[in-house]
Amino acid sequence: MAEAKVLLVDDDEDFTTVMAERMESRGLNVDKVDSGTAALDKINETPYDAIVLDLAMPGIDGLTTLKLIKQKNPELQVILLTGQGSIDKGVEAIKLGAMDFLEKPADLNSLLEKIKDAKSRRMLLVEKKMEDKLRDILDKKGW
Amino acid sequence: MESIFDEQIRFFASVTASVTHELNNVIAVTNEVVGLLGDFIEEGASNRAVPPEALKKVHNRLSAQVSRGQMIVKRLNRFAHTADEKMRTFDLVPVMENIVGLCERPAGLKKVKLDFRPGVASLMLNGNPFLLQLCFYQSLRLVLDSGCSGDILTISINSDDGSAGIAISGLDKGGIDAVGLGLAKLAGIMKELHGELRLIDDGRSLAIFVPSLD
Repeated sequence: MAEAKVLLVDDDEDFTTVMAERMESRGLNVDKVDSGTAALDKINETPYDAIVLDLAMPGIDGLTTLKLIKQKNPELQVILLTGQGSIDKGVEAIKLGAMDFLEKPADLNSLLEKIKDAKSRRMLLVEKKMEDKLRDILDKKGW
Repeated sequence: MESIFDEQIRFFASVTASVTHELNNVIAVTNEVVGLLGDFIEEGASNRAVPPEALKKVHNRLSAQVSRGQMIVKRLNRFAHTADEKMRTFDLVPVMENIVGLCERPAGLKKVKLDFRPGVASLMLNGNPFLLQLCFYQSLRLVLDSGCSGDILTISINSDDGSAGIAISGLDKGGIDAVGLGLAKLAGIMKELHGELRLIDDGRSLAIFVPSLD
Protein backbone atom coordinates (compact mmCIF):
# COMPACT_ATOMS: atom_id res chain seq x y z
CA MET A 1 0.00 0.00 0.00
CA ALA A 2 3.04 2.23 -0.61
CA GLU A 3 1.16 4.82 -2.58
CA ALA A 4 -1.91 5.24 -0.31
CA LYS A 5 -2.43 8.85 0.66
CA VAL A 6 -4.18 9.43 3.96
CA LEU A 7 -5.43 12.50 5.83
CA LEU A 8 -5.66 12.23 9.62
CA VAL A 9 -8.14 14.67 11.16
CA ASP A 10 -8.00 14.89 14.97
CA ASP A 11 -7.53 17.74 17.44
CA ASP A 12 -5.31 15.54 19.64
CA GLU A 13 -1.90 16.28 18.16
CA ASP A 14 -0.16 13.74 20.37
CA PHE A 15 -2.33 11.12 18.73
CA THR A 16 -1.95 12.20 15.10
CA THR A 17 1.83 12.60 15.47
CA VAL A 18 2.41 9.01 16.63
CA MET A 19 -0.25 7.56 14.33
CA ALA A 20 1.29 9.34 11.32
CA GLU A 21 4.77 8.10 12.28
CA ARG A 22 3.57 4.50 12.46
CA MET A 23 1.65 4.72 9.19
CA GLU A 24 4.57 6.36 7.38
CA SER A 25 6.92 3.60 8.57
CA ARG A 26 4.53 1.22 6.76
CA GLY A 27 4.83 3.16 3.51
CA LEU A 28 1.74 5.35 3.67
CA ASN A 29 1.82 8.99 2.72
CA VAL A 30 0.20 10.84 5.63
CA ASP A 31 -0.97 14.41 6.22
CA LYS A 32 -2.53 15.54 9.48
CA VAL A 33 -4.78 18.43 10.47
CA ASP A 34 -6.47 19.35 13.75
CA SER A 35 -9.90 20.54 12.61
CA GLY A 36 -12.74 19.89 10.21
CA THR A 37 -12.20 23.27 8.55
CA ALA A 38 -8.54 22.46 7.87
CA ALA A 39 -9.57 19.06 6.47
CA LEU A 40 -11.97 20.70 4.02
CA ASP A 41 -9.15 22.95 2.81
CA LYS A 42 -6.77 20.00 2.47
CA ILE A 43 -9.09 17.90 0.31
CA ASN A 44 -9.15 20.71 -2.23
CA GLU A 45 -5.37 20.42 -2.61
CA THR A 46 -4.74 16.69 -2.48
CA PRO A 47 -6.54 13.59 -3.84
CA TYR A 48 -6.59 11.44 -0.70
CA ASP A 49 -7.37 7.73 -0.78
CA ALA A 50 -8.83 7.85 2.73
CA ILE A 51 -9.70 10.35 5.44
CA VAL A 52 -9.41 9.13 9.04
CA LEU A 53 -11.72 11.44 10.95
CA ASP A 54 -12.37 12.10 14.66
CA LEU A 55 -15.88 13.01 15.84
CA ALA A 56 -15.46 15.49 18.70
CA MET A 57 -13.36 18.44 17.57
CA PRO A 58 -13.40 22.19 18.21
CA GLY A 59 -15.37 24.13 15.63
CA ILE A 60 -17.23 21.95 13.15
CA ASP A 61 -17.58 18.42 14.51
CA GLY A 62 -16.76 15.16 12.74
CA LEU A 63 -20.27 14.41 11.46
CA THR A 64 -20.63 17.88 9.94
CA THR A 65 -17.15 17.57 8.43
CA LEU A 66 -18.12 14.19 6.97
CA LYS A 67 -21.26 15.69 5.44
CA LEU A 68 -19.28 18.55 3.88
CA ILE A 69 -16.55 16.24 2.57
CA LYS A 70 -19.16 14.03 0.91
CA GLN A 71 -20.87 17.08 -0.62
CA LYS A 72 -17.56 18.29 -2.05
CA ASN A 73 -16.18 14.95 -3.11
CA PRO A 74 -18.52 11.93 -2.93
CA GLU A 75 -15.76 9.52 -4.02
CA LEU A 76 -13.65 10.30 -0.97
CA GLN A 77 -13.68 7.47 1.56
CA VAL A 78 -14.02 8.48 5.21
CA ILE A 79 -13.24 6.25 8.18
CA LEU A 80 -14.45 7.55 11.53
CA LEU A 81 -11.97 6.90 14.35
CA THR A 82 -13.21 8.21 17.65
CA GLY A 83 -13.09 7.93 21.41
CA GLN A 84 -16.82 8.57 21.56
CA GLY A 85 -17.98 5.00 21.95
CA SER A 86 -21.60 5.51 20.95
CA ILE A 87 -23.14 3.16 18.39
CA ASP A 88 -25.73 5.83 17.49
CA LYS A 89 -23.02 8.11 16.17
CA GLY A 90 -21.55 5.22 14.19
CA VAL A 91 -24.91 4.47 12.57
CA GLU A 92 -25.41 8.16 11.80
CA ALA A 93 -21.93 8.35 10.26
CA ILE A 94 -22.57 5.36 8.01
CA LYS A 95 -25.89 6.89 6.93
CA LEU A 96 -24.01 10.06 6.04
CA GLY A 97 -21.69 8.08 3.80
CA ALA A 98 -18.77 7.07 6.04
CA MET A 99 -17.06 3.89 4.88
CA ASP A 100 -16.57 2.59 8.42
CA PHE A 101 -16.53 3.49 12.09
CA LEU A 102 -13.75 2.46 14.51
CA GLU A 103 -13.40 3.09 18.21
CA LYS A 104 -10.20 4.37 19.79
CA PRO A 105 -7.89 2.78 20.71
CA ALA A 106 -7.90 0.93 17.41
CA ASP A 107 -5.66 -1.83 16.15
CA LEU A 108 -3.37 -0.31 13.50
CA ASN A 109 -3.51 -3.38 11.26
CA SER A 110 -7.32 -3.25 11.18
CA LEU A 111 -7.17 0.43 10.30
CA LEU A 112 -4.62 -0.24 7.54
CA GLU A 113 -6.93 -2.90 6.09
CA LYS A 114 -9.77 -0.38 6.03
CA ILE A 115 -7.51 2.18 4.33
CA LYS A 116 -6.62 -0.44 1.71
CA ASP A 117 -10.36 -1.08 1.12
CA ALA A 118 -10.97 2.67 0.98
CA LYS A 119 -8.35 3.09 -1.72
CA SER A 120 -9.83 0.28 -3.87
CA ARG A 121 -13.35 1.60 -3.37
CA ARG A 122 -12.36 5.15 -4.28
CA MET A 123 -10.53 3.97 -7.43
CA LEU A 124 -13.60 2.03 -8.53
CA LEU A 125 -15.84 5.05 -7.97
CA VAL A 126 -13.44 7.36 -9.85
CA GLU A 127 -13.25 4.88 -12.75
CA LYS A 128 -17.03 4.60 -12.83
CA LYS A 129 -17.38 8.36 -12.81
CA MET A 130 -14.98 8.62 -15.76
CA GLU A 131 -16.83 5.89 -17.64
CA ASP A 132 -20.14 7.67 -17.06
CA LYS A 133 -18.65 10.93 -18.28
CA LEU A 134 -17.25 9.26 -21.37
CA ARG A 135 -20.57 7.52 -22.11
CA ASP A 136 -22.33 10.83 -21.69
CA ILE A 137 -20.01 12.48 -24.23
CA LEU A 138 -20.43 9.59 -26.68
CA ASP A 139 -24.21 9.70 -26.28
CA LYS A 140 -24.24 13.44 -26.93
CA LYS A 141 -22.17 12.96 -30.07
CA GLY A 142 -24.48 10.14 -31.16
CA TRP A 143 -21.61 7.62 -31.45
CA MET B 1 -39.41 21.04 34.01
CA GLU B 2 -36.58 18.85 35.36
CA SER B 3 -36.21 18.40 39.10
CA ILE B 4 -32.95 19.51 40.71
CA PHE B 5 -32.16 15.86 41.41
CA ASP B 6 -32.52 15.04 37.69
CA GLU B 7 -30.31 18.00 36.82
CA GLN B 8 -27.66 16.77 39.26
CA ILE B 9 -27.68 13.29 37.70
CA ARG B 10 -27.45 14.78 34.22
CA PHE B 11 -24.58 17.04 35.35
CA PHE B 12 -22.66 14.13 36.84
CA ALA B 13 -23.24 12.06 33.68
CA SER B 14 -22.19 14.91 31.42
CA VAL B 15 -18.93 15.52 33.32
CA THR B 16 -18.21 11.77 33.42
CA ALA B 17 -18.83 11.41 29.68
CA SER B 18 -16.48 14.30 28.91
CA VAL B 19 -13.75 13.04 31.25
CA THR B 20 -13.91 9.43 30.05
CA HIS B 21 -13.68 10.68 26.47
CA GLU B 22 -10.51 12.54 27.44
CA LEU B 23 -9.16 9.46 29.21
CA ASN B 24 -9.90 7.37 26.16
CA ASN B 25 -7.78 9.77 24.11
CA VAL B 26 -4.92 9.24 26.56
CA ILE B 27 -5.32 5.47 26.19
CA ALA B 28 -5.43 5.83 22.39
CA VAL B 29 -2.16 7.81 22.33
CA THR B 30 -0.56 5.35 24.78
CA ASN B 31 -1.72 2.49 22.57
CA GLU B 32 0.02 4.05 19.54
CA VAL B 33 3.23 4.77 21.51
CA VAL B 34 3.28 1.17 22.77
CA GLY B 35 2.74 0.09 19.14
CA LEU B 36 5.70 2.25 18.12
CA LEU B 37 7.78 0.55 20.79
CA GLY B 38 6.67 -2.79 19.35
CA ASP B 39 7.84 -1.61 15.91
CA PHE B 40 11.26 -0.81 17.42
CA ILE B 41 11.45 -4.25 19.05
CA GLU B 42 10.77 -5.84 15.65
CA GLU B 43 13.46 -3.66 14.08
CA GLY B 44 15.87 -4.75 16.83
CA ALA B 45 14.99 -8.39 16.18
CA SER B 46 15.91 -7.96 12.54
CA ASN B 47 19.33 -6.59 13.61
CA ARG B 48 18.55 -2.98 12.78
CA ALA B 49 19.74 -0.70 15.53
CA VAL B 50 17.16 1.60 17.09
CA PRO B 51 18.69 5.04 17.79
CA PRO B 52 18.70 5.97 21.51
CA GLU B 53 16.99 9.30 20.63
CA ALA B 54 14.01 7.37 19.24
CA LEU B 55 13.71 5.41 22.49
CA LYS B 56 14.02 8.60 24.52
CA LYS B 57 11.18 10.09 22.48
CA VAL B 58 9.01 7.05 23.25
CA HIS B 59 9.85 7.39 26.96
CA ASN B 60 8.95 11.09 26.95
CA ARG B 61 5.70 10.45 25.11
CA LEU B 62 4.66 7.75 27.56
CA SER B 63 5.58 9.94 30.56
CA ALA B 64 3.54 12.80 29.11
CA GLN B 65 0.48 10.58 28.71
CA VAL B 66 0.85 9.21 32.27
CA SER B 67 0.91 12.80 33.61
CA ARG B 68 -2.05 13.75 31.42
CA GLY B 69 -4.04 10.72 32.60
CA GLN B 70 -3.13 11.35 36.25
CA MET B 71 -4.39 14.92 36.06
CA ILE B 72 -7.68 13.86 34.48
CA VAL B 73 -8.30 11.13 37.08
CA LYS B 74 -7.34 13.44 39.95
CA ARG B 75 -9.83 16.07 38.76
CA LEU B 76 -12.64 13.54 38.37
CA ASN B 77 -11.91 12.04 41.78
CA ARG B 78 -11.96 15.45 43.49
CA PHE B 79 -15.17 16.30 41.68
CA ALA B 80 -16.86 13.02 42.66
CA HIS B 81 -16.00 13.58 46.34
CA THR B 82 -17.78 16.94 46.36
CA ALA B 83 -21.02 14.93 46.36
CA ASP B 84 -20.07 13.08 49.57
CA GLU B 85 -22.07 15.37 51.86
CA LYS B 86 -24.95 17.62 50.95
CA MET B 87 -24.00 20.40 53.34
CA ARG B 88 -20.51 21.14 54.53
CA THR B 89 -17.92 23.83 55.08
CA PHE B 90 -15.53 24.02 52.13
CA ASP B 91 -13.00 26.25 50.44
CA LEU B 92 -14.49 27.64 47.23
CA VAL B 93 -11.15 28.28 45.47
CA PRO B 94 -9.93 24.66 44.98
CA VAL B 95 -13.47 23.48 44.19
CA MET B 96 -13.75 26.10 41.45
CA GLU B 97 -10.23 25.48 40.17
CA ASN B 98 -11.16 21.82 39.74
CA ILE B 99 -14.50 22.34 38.00
CA VAL B 100 -12.99 24.97 35.69
CA GLY B 101 -10.34 22.38 34.78
CA LEU B 102 -13.08 19.83 34.03
CA CYS B 103 -14.89 22.38 31.86
CA GLU B 104 -11.84 23.07 29.68
CA ARG B 105 -12.74 20.34 27.19
CA PRO B 106 -16.42 21.27 26.64
CA ALA B 107 -15.35 24.92 26.34
CA GLY B 108 -12.51 23.94 23.99
CA LEU B 109 -14.99 22.20 21.70
CA LYS B 110 -16.65 25.62 21.33
CA LYS B 111 -13.19 27.12 20.65
CA VAL B 112 -13.23 28.97 23.98
CA LYS B 113 -10.39 28.98 26.52
CA LEU B 114 -11.08 29.31 30.23
CA ASP B 115 -8.79 31.51 32.30
CA PHE B 116 -9.17 30.91 36.05
CA ARG B 117 -8.22 33.95 38.15
CA PRO B 118 -9.42 33.37 41.72
CA GLY B 119 -8.54 36.82 43.09
CA VAL B 120 -8.51 35.40 46.65
CA ALA B 121 -6.30 32.65 48.07
CA SER B 122 -9.14 31.01 49.96
CA LEU B 123 -12.83 31.63 50.59
CA MET B 124 -14.81 29.49 53.03
CA LEU B 125 -18.45 28.65 52.39
CA ASN B 126 -21.03 26.58 54.19
CA GLY B 127 -23.26 24.88 51.65
CA ASN B 128 -23.55 22.29 48.92
CA PRO B 129 -20.38 22.30 46.76
CA PHE B 130 -21.84 19.86 44.23
CA LEU B 131 -24.88 22.04 43.61
CA LEU B 132 -22.71 25.12 43.34
CA GLN B 133 -20.61 23.41 40.65
CA LEU B 134 -23.80 22.44 38.83
CA CYS B 135 -24.84 26.09 38.92
CA PHE B 136 -21.47 27.17 37.49
CA TYR B 137 -21.56 24.44 34.83
CA GLN B 138 -25.06 25.42 33.70
CA SER B 139 -24.14 29.10 33.70
CA LEU B 140 -21.08 28.40 31.59
CA ARG B 141 -23.14 26.30 29.19
CA LEU B 142 -25.62 29.13 28.91
CA VAL B 143 -22.81 31.44 27.86
CA LEU B 144 -21.18 28.90 25.51
CA ASP B 145 -24.47 27.85 23.88
CA SER B 146 -25.55 31.43 23.31
CA GLY B 147 -22.38 31.91 21.24
CA CYS B 148 -21.90 35.23 22.94
CA SER B 149 -18.37 34.80 24.21
CA GLY B 150 -15.02 35.68 22.72
CA ASP B 151 -12.01 33.37 22.55
CA ILE B 152 -11.34 33.58 26.29
CA LEU B 153 -13.68 33.52 29.26
CA THR B 154 -12.23 34.60 32.60
CA ILE B 155 -13.52 32.89 35.73
CA SER B 156 -12.93 34.97 38.83
CA ILE B 157 -13.85 34.76 42.51
CA ASN B 158 -14.51 37.73 44.72
CA SER B 159 -15.43 38.13 48.35
CA ASP B 160 -17.55 40.99 49.60
CA ASP B 161 -19.20 41.40 53.00
CA GLY B 162 -20.40 37.86 53.65
CA SER B 163 -20.95 37.10 50.00
CA ALA B 164 -18.90 35.11 47.49
CA GLY B 165 -19.09 35.99 43.82
CA ILE B 166 -18.12 33.72 40.94
CA ALA B 167 -18.03 35.65 37.68
CA ILE B 168 -17.78 34.39 34.11
CA SER B 169 -16.45 37.37 32.18
CA GLY B 170 -15.80 38.02 28.51
CA LEU B 171 -19.34 37.99 27.15
CA ASP B 172 -20.05 39.91 23.97
CA LYS B 173 -22.79 42.48 24.15
CA GLY B 174 -24.65 40.81 21.29
CA GLY B 175 -25.37 37.68 23.26
CA ILE B 176 -26.61 39.23 26.48
CA ASP B 177 -30.27 38.66 25.67
CA ALA B 178 -29.71 34.96 24.97
CA VAL B 179 -27.98 34.52 28.35
CA GLY B 180 -30.55 36.66 30.12
CA LEU B 181 -33.39 34.53 28.81
CA GLY B 182 -31.74 31.37 30.13
CA LEU B 183 -31.27 32.66 33.68
CA ALA B 184 -34.79 31.66 34.70
CA LYS B 185 -33.90 28.00 34.12
CA LEU B 186 -31.47 28.20 37.03
CA ALA B 187 -33.91 29.77 39.48
CA GLY B 188 -34.56 26.49 41.33
CA ILE B 189 -30.87 25.81 41.88
CA MET B 190 -30.24 29.39 43.02
CA LYS B 191 -33.04 29.06 45.56
CA GLU B 192 -31.43 25.89 46.97
CA LEU B 193 -28.11 27.71 47.17
CA HIS B 194 -29.70 30.79 48.82
CA GLY B 195 -27.95 32.76 46.13
CA GLU B 196 -28.47 34.96 43.13
CA LEU B 197 -27.45 34.78 39.48
CA ARG B 198 -27.31 37.90 37.36
CA LEU B 199 -25.57 39.74 34.57
CA ILE B 200 -23.14 42.40 35.81
CA ASP B 201 -20.55 44.80 34.31
CA ASP B 202 -23.03 46.12 31.78
CA GLY B 203 -23.82 42.55 30.71
CA ARG B 204 -20.22 41.51 30.10
CA SER B 205 -20.15 39.07 33.03
CA LEU B 206 -22.51 36.47 34.42
CA ALA B 207 -22.10 36.21 38.18
CA ILE B 208 -23.22 33.75 40.85
CA PHE B 209 -23.53 35.20 44.36
CA VAL B 210 -23.77 32.89 47.37
CA PRO B 211 -23.34 33.48 51.13
CA SER B 212 -19.79 33.02 52.45
CA LEU B 213 -18.37 32.57 55.94
CA ASP B 214 -15.64 35.23 55.40
